Formats: sequence, C-alpha cells, structure tokens
Amino acid sequence: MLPMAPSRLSLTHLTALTLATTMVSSVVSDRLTRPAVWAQTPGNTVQTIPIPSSLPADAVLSVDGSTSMVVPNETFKQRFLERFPNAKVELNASRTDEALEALVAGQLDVVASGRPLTQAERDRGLEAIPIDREKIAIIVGPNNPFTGDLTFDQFATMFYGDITDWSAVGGPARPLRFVDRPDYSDTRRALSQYTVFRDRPFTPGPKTDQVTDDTTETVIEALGDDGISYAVASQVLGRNDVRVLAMHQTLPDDPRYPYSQPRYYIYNRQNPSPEALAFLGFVTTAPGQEVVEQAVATATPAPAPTPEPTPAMEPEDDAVALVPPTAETEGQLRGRFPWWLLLIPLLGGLLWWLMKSRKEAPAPPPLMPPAAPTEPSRIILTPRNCRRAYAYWEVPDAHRAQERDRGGRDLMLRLYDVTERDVERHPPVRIEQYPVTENQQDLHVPIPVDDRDYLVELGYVTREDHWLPLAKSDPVRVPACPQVETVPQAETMVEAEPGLTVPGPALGAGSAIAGLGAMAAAAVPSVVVDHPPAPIPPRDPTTPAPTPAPSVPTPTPAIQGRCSIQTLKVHSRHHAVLLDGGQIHQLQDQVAVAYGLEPGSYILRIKEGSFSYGDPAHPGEPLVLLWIYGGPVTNLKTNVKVHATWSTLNGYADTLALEVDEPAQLRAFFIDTYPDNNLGQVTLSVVRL
Amino acid sequence: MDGCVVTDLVVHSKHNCFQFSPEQMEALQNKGVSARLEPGTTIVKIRSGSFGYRAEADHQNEPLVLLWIYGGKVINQKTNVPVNATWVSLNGYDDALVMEVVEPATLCAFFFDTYLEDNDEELTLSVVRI
Repeated sequence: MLPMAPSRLSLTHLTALTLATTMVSSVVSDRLTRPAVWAQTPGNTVQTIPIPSSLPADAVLSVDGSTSMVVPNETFKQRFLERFPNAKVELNASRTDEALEALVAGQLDVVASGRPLTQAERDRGLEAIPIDREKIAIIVGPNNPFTGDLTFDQFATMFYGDITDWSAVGGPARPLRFVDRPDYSDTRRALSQYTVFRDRPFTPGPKTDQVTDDTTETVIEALGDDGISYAVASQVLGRNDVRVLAMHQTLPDDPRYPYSQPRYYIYNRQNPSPEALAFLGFVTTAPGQEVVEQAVATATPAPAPTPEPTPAMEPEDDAVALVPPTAETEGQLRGRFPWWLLLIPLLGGLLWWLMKSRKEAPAPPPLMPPAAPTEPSRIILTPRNCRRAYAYWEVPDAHRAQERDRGGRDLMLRLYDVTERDVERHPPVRIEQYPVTENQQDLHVPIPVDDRDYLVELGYVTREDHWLPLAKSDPVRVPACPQVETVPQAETMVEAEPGLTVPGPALGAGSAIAGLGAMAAAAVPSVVVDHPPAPIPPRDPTTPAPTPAPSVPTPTPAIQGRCSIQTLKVHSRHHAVLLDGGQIHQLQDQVAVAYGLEPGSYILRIKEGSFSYGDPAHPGEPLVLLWIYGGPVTNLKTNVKVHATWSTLNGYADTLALEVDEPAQLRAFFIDTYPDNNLGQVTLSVVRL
Repeated sequence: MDGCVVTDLVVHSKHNCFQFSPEQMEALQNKGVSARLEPGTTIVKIRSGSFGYRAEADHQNEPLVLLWIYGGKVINQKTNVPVNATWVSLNGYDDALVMEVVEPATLCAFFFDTYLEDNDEELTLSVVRI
C-alpha cells in the first residue's frame, strides 16, 4: 500500500513520492525525487569540461563535506560509476570545515560544500565550483497542529526565542520549540546570512533545542509535535514523517520560494587528482551530454596555473530570490574553475564576440560581454543543440522597477526568428513567448525549426498587451539537425527480434545520443513487432504494482541482440480509470477549454506556448490533452469513426486531423494534482479547412 | 485557402487543469499497466487491439491508448523538452512515441471511461528499447 501523499503536491512530486516509497534501494536514492541540476550560468558553462575516457585501475574517489549535499553526491556518484564502473567511490557527509582540511592535506579528492570558500581557504589553493542553490525548507512534525503559513520574520523571531507559543502565529495555544542545527552546519550558516538575522547576533533563544548531529534525520527526530526547524528541501520534500510549511504562501517546490543556500564542489586546484577532475566533469555536464576527452586517457592532468578569469568568462552565482549578499560570495567570483581547460574555445568565442558582424551567419554561441556598471541589463542566447537553446539574463532591480512603473505586469521571454532579416530595419518575427518569474534568470528554449537564426528578448507585457523590453540578445544561429542517412537494409539492418528490425548504426555503442534519437525516429516506421510472448519476468520492485485483475498486466522483456522489447496488454476494463459522471461533467463544463466542432475537416495543432508542472529546473513542454465527444468524428490516424476519443498534442509539429460528420465537442485541458504552481499556457489552433 | 477558419484556444496551465486528488492519481498509476523505462531510446507503439466506448449502437473500436510517463526524466522527441512527467496518446497503429529516457522512469498505459462493465477489449503495446 502506498502512503498517502500530502495534499499540496504536484503530479511530479506525487509520483516521485510514490516511486520513492516503493523503492527498496538505499534511503538516499529513495530521495532522488528531484533531478540534479548543475551550474547553468553562462560564466560557468563548464559542461564542456572533458571527462576522461578512463581512469587508473585503482582509482578511488573520496568525497566528504556537508550533510546538505547528500542527494547531489549520490546523483553524481551514480553517473560517475556508470562511466567508470571499476572505480571506487567513497562518499561521506560530516562537516565542511573538517573536510576542507582533509582536502588540503590530500586525504580527499572533492569536498561537497553548502557554503562558499573564504578568502583564506582560496588562498590555500582551493577552488569551488558552484552548482544550483538548494531551497531551505521550514519543517514541523507531521502531527504538529500548526497548519498555517509563516513569514520569514516570524521564523526569525522563533529562532531568537521571542515567539514561544504557536498561538502567536495563528496556531493553537501550545508551546513552540525551535530545533536548531549545530553551529558548523552549512544550512544554518546560509540561514544566518539573510537580512532578517543581520540586526542581531545569530544566537538562538534560550530554550532552543540544538541537535549535535547535522543530519536531517536527527532534526526530524527532534521535532516532535511542537518543534520547528529547517532543512534543505530535497531531503524533506515528499516524506510523510515531516511536514514542510509554506513561507509567504509558497512552498520550496515553487520557484518563487525565496530562501535557499548555495552549494559547491571544491577541489584542490594546485594538485587536482584525476578522480577529482573526472568527477567535476560530471558536475559540470548535464546527464546524457557527457563529453569524453580521449586525449587524457590516463587522466593525469599536468598541473597548470589557473589564469585569472576575464570578466567575460566570470561565473556568477546562480541567482535565486533573496540570495543574501556576502563578502565571500563576492570574493568567490575571483576564480572558480580551471579555466585553462576552456581557454581555447572561449578565446575563439571572444574573438568572435569582438569581431562579429550582425550579418555573419552561422553565428557561434556568444559569450557574455564584460559586465559594466553602465550596462544595466543584458541577455544572451546560446544554442545547445538543433532543438534547444539556453537563454540567460541579468536585469537589475532598478530597471525592472522602472518598467513596472510604466505598466509592466507580466515578465516574458520572447523568441524571434531573425533568419535573413535585418532586425535594425525590420521588426523580427515573434514565434514564441514564455512567461518567466521575477526570480528566474535563465530558460531552456525549445527551437521549433533548426538551421535558422534566433534572438530572444526579455520584457514586460502591460495590461493593454503592450511590450516593454528589458534586454535583447544578439542573434545566434541554431545548427541544423544531423541528417539521417538511409541505409540499405540488406547491409545494415540488425535482426534483434523476429519481425523487429532497426538500423544497425543506431545500435552502435558509440552512437551519440542525439544521433541515436534521430535514428530511432527514423526507424519508427520500420519497427514492426511480431513475436511470440516471452516468459513473464519477475516484476521490477520499483514499478508501482498494478491493481490485481483477472488479466494481470504482463510486461514481458525479451532481450535479444541489443534490443529490449516489452509487450504490455492493456485491457479496456481492468486498466481503465473510472471517471464518474460528475467528474466528466466538471471536465467538460468547468475545467477544459470548450470548442464546438461543426461538420467538416479540421487540423489541430499547438501554435505556441508550453505547459509546466512548475518545476523550475525544467522548461515547459508544448503539450495539451484533448477530449472529443459527440459526432461521430474520425481521427485520421486511426481512421475509425467514433463518438468519443482522446488525444494529446505533443510539440509544435504534432497535428490532429479530424473529420467531423456531425456536431461534436472539443475539450482541451491538462491534468495535475496541484495546479496552483503550474506554469505557462498553450495556444491551440483549430483550423477548419 | 478560401473558407479556412482558424480559431485559437488558449489553454491555461492552472485555469484549465483537471485536478486529480493524490488518491486518484495513485489509483491511475495502480490501475494502468506499468513498465519500467531504462535510460536509452525507447519507442512505444500499439501492436494490436483497440478500445471503444459502447454507448452508441454503431460504435467501433479505435486503436487508442493513453500514456502517463513519470518518476524519471524523459524527452519526447516531438517536444524535445526534458521533463519529469508527461502525457501522450497513441492513436492508430502507425503512431509512435519516440523518447529518450534520460533517467529511469515509469510508463503507465490506461484508458479513461465512465462505465467499465461493458468493456472487454484488449490492446497490446510494444515498448522497444534500442
């Protein structure tokens, strides 16, 4: 039986919870409910850092540091071991200060830290690579009677011991106990940096219960029914033994949630071990995009001086709302990563930046121009591949406030196609608009058509739908997607399963993922599965168990060659989700966007926009669900005349062609358990031919 | 294009979102047929079978299934956006979902219906990992 989920969970969190509670692996891996996210700011676009193709046979990677880094440590460990299965990884979570001493002494390869380095620590040859900040959740026990919302001022007052009863914040008249973390805790230190704690010494109230062990487990055990404390969000979200309180009416899974702590991986730049550099390669590379450096097969990098980064290369902190300013973070900007590794491509890009001509194409990815006090706002667009680009912007608060005073209301990022267009003389063609939050500083932008020039512009939309621009990027060229060659079947098709043929090159171990995906797409029409049922394997324990039914679902992996095939039998009664009459009426009459279809031919497609479950780590997806009833209608993909059908549209190129014989109804909608934090909207074009 | 009429419908992520309770969502995941998706390129197609609502006397079954993919990270190649959860329908025997599974995820195949007792069809899905 799966545990009941908290009431305020989005679908993604709910499902992550479901998975987490069914997994039988380690506690830590159970909590990998959120994807690891890496440095994303343009200054530290170190995803190009090469990962060695091999490590010495006796390679041992030792990582220690803050307990707040347990989840990302485990994520990166898994990726590390997938690439280097013979290596050993020793993960520990003790305390950052002691781990840094061990790093200097050569007893560790990497320190996982929840705080930046001090100048003194940097002077000892240590270098910190930032990853994204982690939200700090305010927590109480599951049976704590307080169910309200707090302000950060109230929380600070609790810390100082000035509030000792829950009734002071709207709860029942019961004693309140603050559970604090040890003094050395990085999360505690991050908390202390906020302005609300600046006016008084960061000293807890006399009745504070301070635990001696900086683990979230210890803190949760100490909460009881009257305690309140804090923890990094990834260690408490989705658990049923602790409850996360809303702060300023937002939860930590909401991008607007304001409180967070920085996170870093620290290494000894004066004497980096091969294991450290390999690990940091994963830290700075998104999953699936690992770049293997063949030239460092033995992974013995020659120590090289770390050049002082130029302003153009300067990484900057991943900006999150209300990030407390610190002298250390400012000082931290003076150097982070062995930039000599990046020097060659960056210099090329810098030359391009200095010498570029607006009409030159294709344009290489630009670098962030040097920051200057007189240049208030800036934005860059960098193509990541033929289908995706990355936008990053910096807009001072004063500039935003100025435009808001002029009526700016909704902050948006607009994508323009400027192919063969002189944008100085002719306005660019807007093809997409994405809502972004005030706290957001970057966005992965889907590219609708490859091999074209694009730019992005950040600005406000007024109530009257006027556009107030804040910053516009330079145009960049998005490369063409790799062409899939048609390979003669007789020579290259691999027989993986009777009746199933896939192109041989797609199965090569060395195939790039993008190419593999493209080949897979090309292979779809040729995939014809026609094979006898395979033996039913033991059920994967991580898969939610289906409801027992007369016809038990039978996933039947049949691995042969290099393909894996599962056959799923979906029964129309046993595997149908029952919607009662009230629900379907609610969907049709109250929730979904309604449109009446008169007899005729229709094409439906997503014109613009995207939908997101509110996960700030991901851009929205162009997606919508459709319920069509009445009719009869015929979806030309099935060519069956029906009185009711479902469909989704996924992506801008996806279309639904309908023949409507008699009047029918179209309903467009999304599904979620907690819609309040969803982001975006989709414009669905219904074209009657 | 004489006679072509275009109507744009704005579907809002909050205002037009059909809210399931956590219990309903859990029930959906339990009710549907689940398959574990491992990292790699995966293709999902309807191999055989169909589904139909018998409310009308002249009903015909349609090769159709709904998919809920969750608990990991996938990229549907039609959207090219990495997501933790997504919905896809397969309509017809030629329709295919091609996705890159970046982190292990779960695929749940199901139907929606308001009356189950008269349903007795079965549809076979093939999940091919290459």
